[in-house]
Amino acid sequence: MDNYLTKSSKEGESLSKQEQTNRVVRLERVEFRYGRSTAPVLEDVSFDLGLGDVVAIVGKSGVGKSTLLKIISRSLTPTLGIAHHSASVLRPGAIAYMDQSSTVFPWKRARQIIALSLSRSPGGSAGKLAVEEALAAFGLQGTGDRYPHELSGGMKQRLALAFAILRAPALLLLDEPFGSVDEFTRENLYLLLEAALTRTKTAVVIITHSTSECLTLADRVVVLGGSPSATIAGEFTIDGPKPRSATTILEPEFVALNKQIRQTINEV
Amino acid sequence: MISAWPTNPIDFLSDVGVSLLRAGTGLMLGAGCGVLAAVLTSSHRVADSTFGTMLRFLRSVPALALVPFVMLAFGISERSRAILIAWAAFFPVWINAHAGLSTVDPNILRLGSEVYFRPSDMYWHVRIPYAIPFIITGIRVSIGTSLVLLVAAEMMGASSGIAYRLLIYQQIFRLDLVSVQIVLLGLLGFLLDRAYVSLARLCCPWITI
Repeated sequence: MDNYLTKSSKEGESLSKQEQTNRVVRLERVEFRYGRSTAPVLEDVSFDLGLGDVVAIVGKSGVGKSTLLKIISRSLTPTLGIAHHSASVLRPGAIAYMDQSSTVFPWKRARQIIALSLSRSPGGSAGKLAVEEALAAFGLQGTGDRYPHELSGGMKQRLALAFAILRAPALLLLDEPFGSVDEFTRENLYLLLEAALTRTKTAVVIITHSTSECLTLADRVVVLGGSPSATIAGEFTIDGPKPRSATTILEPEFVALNKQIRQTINEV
Repeated sequence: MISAWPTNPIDFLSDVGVSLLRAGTGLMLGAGCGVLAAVLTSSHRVADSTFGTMLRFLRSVPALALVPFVMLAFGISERSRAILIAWAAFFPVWINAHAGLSTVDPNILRLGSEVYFRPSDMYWHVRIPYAIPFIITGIRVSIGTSLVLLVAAEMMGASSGIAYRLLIYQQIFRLDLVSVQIVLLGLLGFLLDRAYVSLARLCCPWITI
């Protein structure tokens, strides 16, 4: 099992064993500033991410969502406060990142990209059958021999998603991943993501501008807001079975939650 | 114009063959050294600021200016000709390969670091493949440059080759035959470029060239 790494021993001792093994990332009163003389971008941000959690971070443009994502991914170190990462996140290749550029290696065929990702999953097999199954699961059957530039935008996005998720990362970071695709492709991608997540314990953090995306995918929504320094202005838990469809989120409780989230974003 | 063609077809074919061999040898030598130099200058900052700076200085020295020195060092030989062509072929390959290896898309680097954990794996599986289209373009430019230098090289006391024949015809004022040799050189360059592009597309189908 993963050992929860604690930089602050007192805090570590106070956590139950169960909490320690389930937690993937924990930020405690984190502050981050890009230069000594500048105002902090983030201030007093505390955040917990457990195994299998799907957390959406929302907020206005330029509020510091991507900075927070970089702290979660360990690309940035907080200037104050503590960022804990579990051992499962610290192993090489444990973090997968995807944005709307749907970057994959242009010199590899779809089949090779899938095989590479499968070969990096713990105990995973990159055999011919497994690769074909994975291609089919992501709606890419028959495109195994194609290079990324020969795929349509939606297919490329599915390939990038497959590459990010098939290696079963401990932490999947999605930075507005579905911003550049049409509504129907996006809904299809939601379903693929949900289906893939049921097979892993991957914790997911999604940055998005779309509250309907939050309601469809997330278990929890964190609203980031405040100027000049952002902090967590609101946190919403979304209950209800998954996968949620475009019609599910039109139900009254989801509509009310959507309104609340939007209000919080606009108020701060 | 028919009478302007070289009378002996064997001479004609051997001229083309000899010239191709010369240009090819110089090109391979120059391109190989260009890629190796780019690996060095793109990997180490110190190598770039010393060796790279020296190469940037030498780049502006025209290969033709080196003819007497090359002749002095290696004599009037095939080796001299190959070195002269290699000199001209080296720089386009080096500059392009260096650009490719040192400006890898940060998204590709990040993606690579998620699945390749050793620096050597990152180099072989991410940086080198990323730089391949740049290297291919560099070599394509060098093919043209090699043919230009072929003329200079074959003027260095050669006894065969298209450009050698061009020089001979110039000296006897047979401008009709000179024209044939010029067209032949142009045709050779064009066909080599087409053949190279086809080969590059075949070997690396993912690139757009």
